[in-house]
Amino acid sequence: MSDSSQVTVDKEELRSLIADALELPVKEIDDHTHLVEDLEVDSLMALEIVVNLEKRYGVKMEESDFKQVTSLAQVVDLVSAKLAASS
Amino acid sequence: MSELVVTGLGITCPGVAKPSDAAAPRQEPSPGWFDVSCALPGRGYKRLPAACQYLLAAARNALADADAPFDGVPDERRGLVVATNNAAMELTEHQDGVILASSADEIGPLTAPFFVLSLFASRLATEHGVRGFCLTANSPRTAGLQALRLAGRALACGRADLLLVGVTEERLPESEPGSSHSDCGAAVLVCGPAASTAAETAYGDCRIGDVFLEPGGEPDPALTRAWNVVCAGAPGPVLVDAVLDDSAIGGAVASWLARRPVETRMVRAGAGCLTPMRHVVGALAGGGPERVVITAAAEGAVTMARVRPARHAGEQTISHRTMSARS
Repeated sequence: MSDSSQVTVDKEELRSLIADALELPVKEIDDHTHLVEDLEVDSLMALEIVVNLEKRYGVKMEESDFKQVTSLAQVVDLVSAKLAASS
Repeated sequence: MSELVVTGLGITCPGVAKPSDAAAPRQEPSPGWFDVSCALPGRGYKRLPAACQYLLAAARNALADADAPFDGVPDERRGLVVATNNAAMELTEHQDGVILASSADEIGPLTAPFFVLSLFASRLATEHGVRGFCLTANSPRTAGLQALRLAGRALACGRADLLLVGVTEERLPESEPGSSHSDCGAAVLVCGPAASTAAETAYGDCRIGDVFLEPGGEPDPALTRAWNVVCAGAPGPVLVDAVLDDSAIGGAVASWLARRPVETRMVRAGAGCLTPMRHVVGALAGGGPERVVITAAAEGAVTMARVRPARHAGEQTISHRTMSARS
Protein backbone atom coordinates (compact mmCIF):
# COMPACT_ATOMS: atom_id res chain seq x y z
CA MET A 1 0.00 0.00 0.00
CA SER A 2 1.25 3.51 -0.80
CA ASP A 3 2.23 6.06 1.84
CA SER A 4 -0.59 8.58 1.48
CA SER A 5 1.40 11.42 2.99
CA GLN A 6 3.75 11.42 0.00
CA VAL A 7 1.23 10.86 -2.79
CA THR A 8 -0.40 13.53 -4.92
CA VAL A 9 -3.16 13.00 -7.43
CA ASP A 10 -2.10 12.87 -11.05
CA LYS A 11 -5.27 13.17 -13.08
CA GLU A 12 -3.83 11.35 -16.07
CA GLU A 13 -2.71 8.46 -13.92
CA LEU A 14 -6.16 8.31 -12.41
CA ARG A 15 -7.71 8.39 -15.87
CA SER A 16 -5.51 5.47 -16.84
CA LEU A 17 -6.41 3.56 -13.66
CA ILE A 18 -10.13 3.97 -14.30
CA ALA A 19 -9.79 3.09 -18.00
CA ASP A 20 -7.93 -0.06 -17.06
CA ALA A 21 -10.54 -1.06 -14.49
CA LEU A 22 -13.33 -0.50 -16.99
CA GLU A 23 -11.47 -2.15 -19.89
CA LEU A 24 -11.83 0.99 -22.00
CA PRO A 25 -9.37 3.11 -24.00
CA VAL A 26 -8.05 6.05 -21.98
CA LYS A 27 -9.44 8.50 -24.54
CA GLU A 28 -13.00 7.46 -23.63
CA ILE A 29 -12.60 8.74 -20.08
CA ASP A 30 -13.19 12.48 -20.36
CA ASP A 31 -13.10 14.59 -17.23
CA HIS A 32 -16.86 14.86 -17.08
CA THR A 33 -17.98 11.65 -18.76
CA HIS A 34 -20.69 10.14 -16.54
CA LEU A 35 -19.39 6.87 -15.14
CA VAL A 36 -22.77 5.19 -14.91
CA GLU A 37 -24.81 6.75 -17.70
CA ASP A 38 -22.05 6.98 -20.32
CA LEU A 39 -19.68 4.18 -19.35
CA GLU A 40 -22.18 1.73 -17.87
CA VAL A 41 -20.27 1.28 -14.63
CA ASP A 42 -22.07 -1.18 -12.37
CA SER A 43 -21.55 -1.84 -8.67
CA LEU A 44 -18.88 -4.48 -9.25
CA MET A 45 -16.88 -2.24 -11.58
CA ALA A 46 -17.19 0.61 -9.07
CA LEU A 47 -15.84 -1.69 -6.37
CA GLU A 48 -12.92 -2.60 -8.62
CA ILE A 49 -12.11 1.09 -9.04
CA VAL A 50 -12.37 1.69 -5.29
CA VAL A 51 -10.02 -1.20 -4.47
CA ASN A 52 -7.49 0.09 -7.01
CA LEU A 53 -7.74 3.64 -5.63
CA GLU A 54 -7.24 2.43 -2.08
CA LYS A 55 -4.27 0.37 -3.13
CA ARG A 56 -2.66 3.13 -5.18
CA TYR A 57 -3.23 6.08 -2.85
CA GLY A 58 -3.35 4.42 0.54
CA VAL A 59 -6.70 5.92 1.44
CA LYS A 60 -9.84 4.30 2.79
CA MET A 61 -13.03 4.82 0.83
CA GLU A 62 -16.45 4.50 2.40
CA GLU A 63 -19.31 3.11 0.36
CA SER A 64 -21.10 6.44 0.65
CA ASP A 65 -18.06 8.28 -0.78
CA PHE A 66 -18.19 6.65 -4.15
CA LYS A 67 -21.95 6.82 -4.49
CA GLN A 68 -21.63 10.59 -4.86
CA VAL A 69 -18.94 10.38 -7.53
CA THR A 70 -20.06 10.38 -11.15
CA SER A 71 -17.02 11.47 -13.19
CA LEU A 72 -13.24 11.44 -13.33
CA ALA A 73 -13.14 15.06 -12.16
CA GLN A 74 -15.09 14.12 -9.07
CA VAL A 75 -12.87 11.09 -8.45
CA VAL A 76 -9.85 13.43 -8.50
CA ASP A 77 -11.56 15.71 -5.98
CA LEU A 78 -12.53 12.79 -3.76
CA VAL A 79 -9.04 11.27 -3.69
CA SER A 80 -7.45 14.68 -3.15
CA ALA A 81 -9.77 15.33 -0.20
CA LYS A 82 -8.99 11.92 1.28
CA LEU A 83 -5.26 12.53 0.96
CA ALA A 84 -5.54 15.97 2.51
CA ALA A 85 -7.54 14.58 5.42
CA SER A 86 -4.99 11.88 6.10
CA SER A 87 -1.89 14.09 5.90
CA MET B 1 -27.21 -44.54 -20.06
CA SER B 2 -27.73 -41.19 -21.75
CA GLU B 3 -27.76 -40.24 -25.38
CA LEU B 4 -27.51 -36.98 -27.25
CA VAL B 5 -26.76 -35.48 -30.64
CA VAL B 6 -23.93 -32.99 -31.08
CA THR B 7 -24.45 -30.12 -33.50
CA GLY B 8 -21.60 -27.74 -32.67
CA LEU B 9 -18.05 -27.97 -31.36
CA GLY B 10 -15.67 -25.42 -29.89
CA ILE B 11 -12.23 -25.89 -28.39
CA THR B 12 -9.68 -23.62 -26.75
CA CYS B 13 -6.54 -25.53 -25.86
CA PRO B 14 -2.80 -24.87 -26.23
CA GLY B 15 -1.63 -26.06 -29.62
CA VAL B 16 -5.12 -26.97 -30.86
CA ALA B 17 -6.35 -24.92 -33.82
CA LYS B 18 -9.59 -26.73 -34.57
CA PRO B 19 -11.87 -29.40 -33.08
CA SER B 20 -10.55 -32.16 -35.33
CA ASP B 21 -7.14 -31.68 -33.65
CA ALA B 22 -8.62 -31.92 -30.17
CA ALA B 23 -7.30 -35.41 -29.43
CA ALA B 24 -3.71 -34.41 -30.17
CA PRO B 25 -1.29 -34.95 -27.28
CA ARG B 26 -1.55 -32.34 -24.57
CA GLN B 27 0.85 -29.41 -24.98
CA GLU B 28 2.21 -27.23 -22.25
CA PRO B 29 0.67 -23.76 -22.44
CA SER B 30 3.24 -21.25 -23.64
CA PRO B 31 3.05 -17.65 -22.37
CA GLY B 32 0.45 -15.72 -24.32
CA TRP B 33 -1.04 -18.80 -25.98
CA PHE B 34 -4.52 -17.41 -25.33
CA ASP B 35 -5.26 -13.84 -26.45
CA VAL B 36 -8.38 -12.80 -24.59
CA SER B 37 -8.86 -9.56 -26.54
CA CYS B 38 -8.88 -11.55 -29.77
CA ALA B 39 -10.95 -14.49 -28.54
CA LEU B 40 -13.41 -12.37 -26.55
CA PRO B 41 -13.50 -8.85 -27.94
CA GLY B 42 -15.40 -6.28 -25.90
CA ARG B 43 -15.60 -5.30 -22.26
CA GLY B 44 -15.97 -7.50 -19.23
CA TYR B 45 -13.65 -10.38 -20.07
CA LYS B 46 -10.12 -9.25 -19.27
CA ARG B 47 -10.32 -9.78 -15.51
CA LEU B 48 -12.18 -13.07 -15.56
CA PRO B 49 -10.24 -16.14 -14.40
CA ALA B 50 -8.43 -17.77 -17.30
CA ALA B 51 -10.56 -20.91 -17.16
CA CYS B 52 -13.68 -18.77 -17.48
CA GLN B 53 -12.21 -17.02 -20.50
CA TYR B 54 -11.37 -20.38 -22.11
CA LEU B 55 -14.91 -21.60 -21.48
CA LEU B 56 -16.57 -18.50 -22.91
CA ALA B 57 -14.33 -18.57 -25.98
CA ALA B 58 -14.96 -22.25 -26.65
CA ALA B 59 -18.71 -21.75 -26.19
CA ARG B 60 -18.70 -18.82 -28.58
CA ASN B 61 -16.96 -20.98 -31.18
CA ALA B 62 -19.29 -23.92 -30.61
CA LEU B 63 -22.40 -21.78 -31.00
CA ALA B 64 -21.01 -20.18 -34.15
CA ASP B 65 -20.15 -23.64 -35.44
CA ALA B 66 -23.75 -24.75 -34.88
CA ASP B 67 -25.00 -21.60 -36.64
CA ALA B 68 -26.58 -19.80 -33.69
CA PRO B 69 -28.71 -22.70 -32.44
CA PHE B 70 -30.07 -20.76 -29.45
CA ASP B 71 -31.92 -18.39 -31.78
CA GLY B 72 -35.57 -19.27 -31.41
CA VAL B 73 -35.02 -21.30 -28.24
CA PRO B 74 -36.65 -19.57 -25.26
CA ASP B 75 -34.22 -18.64 -22.48
CA GLU B 76 -35.88 -21.01 -20.04
CA ARG B 77 -35.51 -23.91 -22.50
CA ARG B 78 -31.76 -23.37 -22.88
CA GLY B 79 -29.55 -25.39 -20.59
CA LEU B 80 -25.93 -26.06 -19.81
CA VAL B 81 -23.69 -28.39 -17.88
CA VAL B 82 -20.13 -27.37 -17.07
CA ALA B 83 -17.49 -29.72 -15.72
CA THR B 84 -14.25 -28.78 -14.06
CA ASN B 85 -11.81 -30.03 -11.47
CA ASN B 86 -9.18 -27.29 -11.32
CA ALA B 87 -10.65 -24.16 -12.89
CA ALA B 88 -10.16 -22.15 -9.70
CA MET B 89 -6.98 -23.67 -8.27
CA GLU B 90 -4.64 -21.01 -9.66
CA LEU B 91 -7.05 -18.27 -8.62
CA THR B 92 -7.50 -19.51 -5.06
CA GLU B 93 -3.76 -19.91 -4.62
CA HIS B 94 -3.35 -16.31 -5.74
CA GLN B 95 -6.12 -15.18 -3.37
CA ASP B 96 -4.48 -17.08 -0.51
CA GLY B 97 -1.23 -15.27 -1.29
CA VAL B 98 -2.94 -11.86 -1.25
CA ILE B 99 -4.62 -12.61 2.08
CA LEU B 100 -1.40 -13.81 3.65
CA ALA B 101 0.62 -10.89 2.30
CA SER B 102 -1.89 -8.14 3.07
CA SER B 103 -5.62 -8.68 3.53
CA ALA B 104 -8.75 -9.99 1.86
CA ASP B 105 -9.68 -6.38 1.08
CA GLU B 106 -7.10 -6.37 -1.68
CA ILE B 107 -8.58 -9.27 -3.63
CA GLY B 108 -9.97 -8.01 -6.92
CA PRO B 109 -13.76 -7.75 -6.63
CA LEU B 110 -14.34 -8.99 -10.17
CA THR B 111 -12.55 -12.29 -9.58
CA ALA B 112 -13.32 -12.80 -5.89
CA PRO B 113 -16.56 -14.79 -6.41
CA PHE B 114 -14.91 -17.35 -8.66
CA PHE B 115 -13.59 -19.43 -5.79
CA VAL B 116 -17.11 -20.88 -6.03
CA LEU B 117 -16.85 -23.33 -8.92
CA SER B 118 -20.46 -22.93 -10.01
CA LEU B 119 -19.67 -19.34 -11.01
CA PHE B 120 -18.02 -20.57 -14.21
CA ALA B 121 -21.29 -22.08 -15.40
CA SER B 122 -23.24 -19.07 -14.15
CA ARG B 123 -21.06 -16.70 -16.14
CA LEU B 124 -21.58 -18.80 -19.27
CA ALA B 125 -25.33 -18.86 -18.62
CA THR B 126 -25.39 -15.08 -18.33
CA GLU B 127 -23.43 -14.72 -21.54
CA HIS B 128 -25.91 -16.73 -23.60
CA GLY B 129 -29.21 -16.09 -21.87
CA VAL B 130 -29.50 -19.56 -20.38
CA ARG B 131 -32.19 -19.44 -17.72
CA GLY B 132 -33.14 -23.11 -17.57
CA PHE B 133 -31.22 -26.24 -16.56
CA CYS B 134 -27.77 -25.26 -15.24
CA LEU B 135 -25.43 -27.63 -13.49
CA THR B 136 -21.77 -27.91 -12.52
CA ALA B 137 -20.01 -31.30 -12.25
CA ASN B 138 -16.76 -31.68 -10.32
CA SER B 139 -16.09 -35.41 -9.97
CA PRO B 140 -12.37 -36.10 -10.31
CA ARG B 141 -11.40 -36.95 -13.90
CA THR B 142 -14.84 -38.25 -14.94
CA ALA B 143 -16.76 -34.96 -14.62
CA GLY B 144 -16.38 -34.12 -18.31
CA LEU B 145 -17.97 -37.29 -19.62
CA GLN B 146 -20.46 -37.22 -16.77
CA ALA B 147 -21.50 -33.77 -17.92
CA LEU B 148 -22.52 -35.34 -21.21
CA ARG B 149 -24.48 -37.94 -19.33
CA LEU B 150 -26.21 -35.34 -17.21
CA ALA B 151 -27.05 -33.34 -20.33
CA GLY B 152 -28.49 -36.43 -22.00
CA ARG B 153 -30.69 -37.07 -18.98
CA ALA B 154 -31.89 -33.47 -18.91
CA LEU B 155 -32.81 -33.66 -22.58
CA ALA B 156 -34.53 -37.02 -22.17
CA CYS B 157 -36.54 -35.66 -19.25
CA GLY B 158 -37.61 -32.65 -21.27
CA ARG B 159 -35.88 -30.16 -18.99
CA ALA B 160 -34.29 -28.32 -21.92
CA ASP B 161 -34.47 -28.17 -25.70
CA LEU B 162 -30.80 -27.48 -26.30
CA LEU B 163 -27.77 -27.61 -24.03
CA LEU B 164 -24.19 -26.52 -23.95
CA VAL B 165 -21.89 -29.09 -22.40
CA GLY B 166 -18.53 -27.63 -21.46
CA VAL B 167 -15.35 -28.61 -19.71
CA THR B 168 -12.84 -26.05 -18.58
CA GLU B 169 -9.57 -26.41 -16.73
CA GLU B 170 -6.69 -24.21 -15.71
CA ARG B 171 -3.22 -25.61 -15.31
CA LEU B 172 -2.49 -26.53 -11.70
CA PRO B 173 -0.26 -24.11 -9.78
CA GLU B 174 3.39 -25.16 -9.80
CA SER B 175 3.19 -25.88 -6.08
CA GLU B 176 0.65 -28.64 -6.69
CA PRO B 177 1.62 -32.24 -7.49
CA GLY B 178 0.95 -33.04 -11.14
CA SER B 179 1.21 -29.44 -12.28
CA SER B 180 3.44 -30.26 -15.22
CA HIS B 181 0.91 -32.73 -16.56
CA SER B 182 -2.37 -30.98 -15.91
CA ASP B 183 -5.21 -30.10 -18.26
CA CYS B 184 -5.52 -26.57 -19.58
CA GLY B 185 -8.19 -25.14 -21.86
CA ALA B 186 -11.84 -25.75 -22.61
CA ALA B 187 -14.13 -27.69 -24.90
CA VAL B 188 -17.81 -27.03 -25.50
CA LEU B 189 -20.39 -29.12 -27.34
CA VAL B 190 -23.83 -27.98 -28.48
CA CYS B 191 -26.13 -30.88 -27.69
CA GLY B 192 -29.71 -31.72 -28.57
CA PRO B 193 -31.94 -34.73 -27.98
CA ALA B 194 -31.34 -37.85 -30.05
CA ALA B 195 -34.71 -37.43 -31.76
CA SER B 196 -34.19 -33.79 -32.68
CA THR B 197 -34.44 -32.58 -36.26
CA ALA B 198 -30.97 -31.10 -35.92
CA ALA B 199 -29.62 -34.65 -36.13
CA GLU B 200 -29.42 -34.43 -39.91
CA THR B 201 -26.68 -31.82 -39.71
CA ALA B 202 -25.02 -33.16 -36.59
CA TYR B 203 -21.45 -34.23 -36.03
CA GLY B 204 -22.78 -37.44 -34.59
CA ASP B 205 -24.11 -38.77 -31.36
CA CYS B 206 -22.83 -39.88 -28.00
CA ARG B 207 -24.08 -42.51 -25.66
CA ILE B 208 -22.73 -42.29 -22.12
CA GLY B 209 -22.66 -44.78 -19.29
CA ASP B 210 -20.83 -45.10 -16.03
CA VAL B 211 -20.12 -47.52 -13.26
CA PHE B 212 -18.59 -47.32 -9.81
CA LEU B 213 -15.97 -49.90 -8.94
CA GLU B 214 -16.09 -50.58 -5.24
CA PRO B 215 -12.78 -50.99 -3.44
CA GLY B 216 -11.89 -54.65 -3.20
CA GLY B 217 -14.65 -55.67 -5.58
CA GLU B 218 -14.31 -57.60 -8.82
CA PRO B 219 -14.15 -54.96 -11.56
CA ASP B 220 -14.61 -57.03 -14.71
CA PRO B 221 -18.33 -57.94 -14.43
CA ALA B 222 -19.30 -54.35 -13.64
CA LEU B 223 -17.20 -52.95 -16.47
CA THR B 224 -18.58 -55.50 -18.92
CA ARG B 225 -22.16 -54.71 -17.93
CA ALA B 226 -21.57 -50.99 -18.46
CA TRP B 227 -19.84 -51.65 -21.78
CA ASN B 228 -22.71 -53.83 -23.00
CA VAL B 229 -25.23 -51.12 -22.25
CA VAL B 230 -23.23 -48.31 -23.85
CA CYS B 231 -22.16 -50.35 -26.86
CA ALA B 232 -25.40 -52.24 -27.44
CA GLY B 233 -26.07 -52.92 -31.12
CA ALA B 234 -23.93 -54.33 -33.90
CA PRO B 235 -21.24 -54.02 -34.99
CA GLY B 236 -20.06 -52.20 -31.89
CA PRO B 237 -16.98 -50.07 -31.57
CA VAL B 238 -13.60 -51.69 -31.49
CA LEU B 239 -11.53 -48.52 -31.14
CA VAL B 240 -11.02 -47.24 -27.62
CA ASP B 241 -9.31 -44.13 -26.27
CA ALA B 242 -8.52 -44.93 -22.65
CA VAL B 243 -7.59 -41.91 -20.56
CA LEU B 244 -6.23 -43.56 -17.44
CA ASP B 245 -3.84 -42.91 -14.60
CA ASP B 246 -1.66 -45.36 -12.73
CA SER B 247 -4.10 -45.86 -9.85
CA ALA B 248 -5.48 -49.28 -8.97
CA ILE B 249 -8.73 -48.40 -10.71
CA GLY B 250 -6.90 -47.18 -13.81
CA GLY B 251 -4.93 -50.42 -13.83
CA ALA B 252 -8.06 -52.52 -13.45
CA VAL B 253 -9.69 -50.81 -16.43
CA ALA B 254 -6.52 -51.19 -18.53
CA SER B 255 -6.33 -54.90 -17.69
CA TRP B 256 -9.98 -55.39 -18.55
CA LEU B 257 -9.52 -53.63 -21.89
CA ALA B 258 -6.49 -55.77 -22.66
CA ARG B 259 -8.69 -58.85 -22.49
CA ARG B 260 -11.31 -57.47 -24.85
CA PRO B 261 -11.29 -57.59 -28.66
CA VAL B 262 -10.64 -53.87 -28.98
CA GLU B 263 -7.87 -51.67 -30.29
CA THR B 264 -6.94 -49.40 -27.44
CA ARG B 265 -5.07 -46.12 -27.58
CA MET B 266 -3.78 -45.49 -24.07
CA VAL B 267 -3.60 -41.85 -23.02
CA ARG B 268 -1.91 -40.82 -19.81
CA ALA B 269 -4.43 -38.96 -17.67
CA GLY B 270 -3.29 -35.73 -16.11
CA ALA B 271 -4.98 -33.65 -13.46
CA GLY B 272 -8.37 -32.46 -14.66
CA CYS B 273 -11.35 -33.73 -16.59
CA LEU B 274 -10.68 -32.12 -19.98
CA THR B 275 -8.61 -34.77 -21.76
CA PRO B 276 -11.43 -37.33 -22.11
CA MET B 277 -13.69 -34.66 -23.56
CA ARG B 278 -10.94 -33.62 -25.98
CA HIS B 279 -11.03 -37.16 -27.33
CA VAL B 280 -14.80 -37.03 -27.72
CA VAL B 281 -14.52 -33.74 -29.61
CA GLY B 282 -11.69 -35.06 -31.77
CA ALA B 283 -13.63 -38.19 -32.65
CA LEU B 284 -16.78 -36.26 -33.58
CA ALA B 285 -14.98 -33.60 -35.61
CA GLY B 286 -12.59 -35.96 -37.30
CA GLY B 287 -15.20 -38.40 -38.51
CA GLY B 288 -13.96 -41.94 -38.85
CA PRO B 289 -15.25 -45.05 -37.19
CA GLU B 290 -17.09 -45.34 -33.92
CA ARG B 291 -14.96 -44.95 -30.88
CA VAL B 292 -15.34 -45.38 -27.14
CA VAL B 293 -13.66 -42.88 -24.84
CA ILE B 294 -13.23 -44.30 -21.37
CA THR B 295 -11.81 -42.69 -18.27
CA ALA B 296 -11.56 -43.60 -14.62
CA ALA B 297 -10.84 -41.90 -11.33
CA ALA B 298 -8.72 -43.38 -8.58
CA GLU B 299 -11.76 -43.06 -6.30
CA GLY B 300 -13.64 -45.69 -8.34
CA ALA B 301 -15.79 -43.91 -10.90
CA VAL B 302 -15.50 -45.11 -14.49
CA THR B 303 -17.27 -43.36 -17.35
CA MET B 304 -17.44 -44.39 -20.99
CA ALA B 305 -18.72 -42.50 -24.00
CA ARG B 306 -19.56 -44.23 -27.25
CA VAL B 307 -18.99 -41.67 -29.98
CA ARG B 308 -20.52 -42.22 -33.39
CA PRO B 309 -19.43 -39.64 -35.94
CA ALA B 310 -22.13 -39.03 -38.52
CA ARG B 311 -19.63 -38.48 -41.30
CA HIS B 312 -18.46 -42.05 -41.17
CA ALA B 313 -21.41 -43.94 -39.76
CA GLY B 314 -23.82 -42.67 -42.41
CA GLU B 315 -26.91 -44.82 -42.71
CA GLN B 316 -26.10 -46.77 -39.63
CA THR B 317 -26.20 -43.68 -37.46
CA ILE B 318 -29.40 -42.45 -39.04
CA SER B 319 -31.13 -45.78 -38.52
CA HIS B 320 -29.97 -45.76 -34.94
CA ARG B 321 -31.42 -42.29 -34.44
CA THR B 322 -34.72 -43.51 -35.85
CA MET B 323 -34.62 -46.40 -33.42
CA SER B 324 -33.88 -44.04 -30.54
CA ALA B 325 -36.74 -41.78 -31.50
CA ARG B 326 -39.14 -44.71 -31.37
CA SER B 327 -37.97 -46.01 -28.01
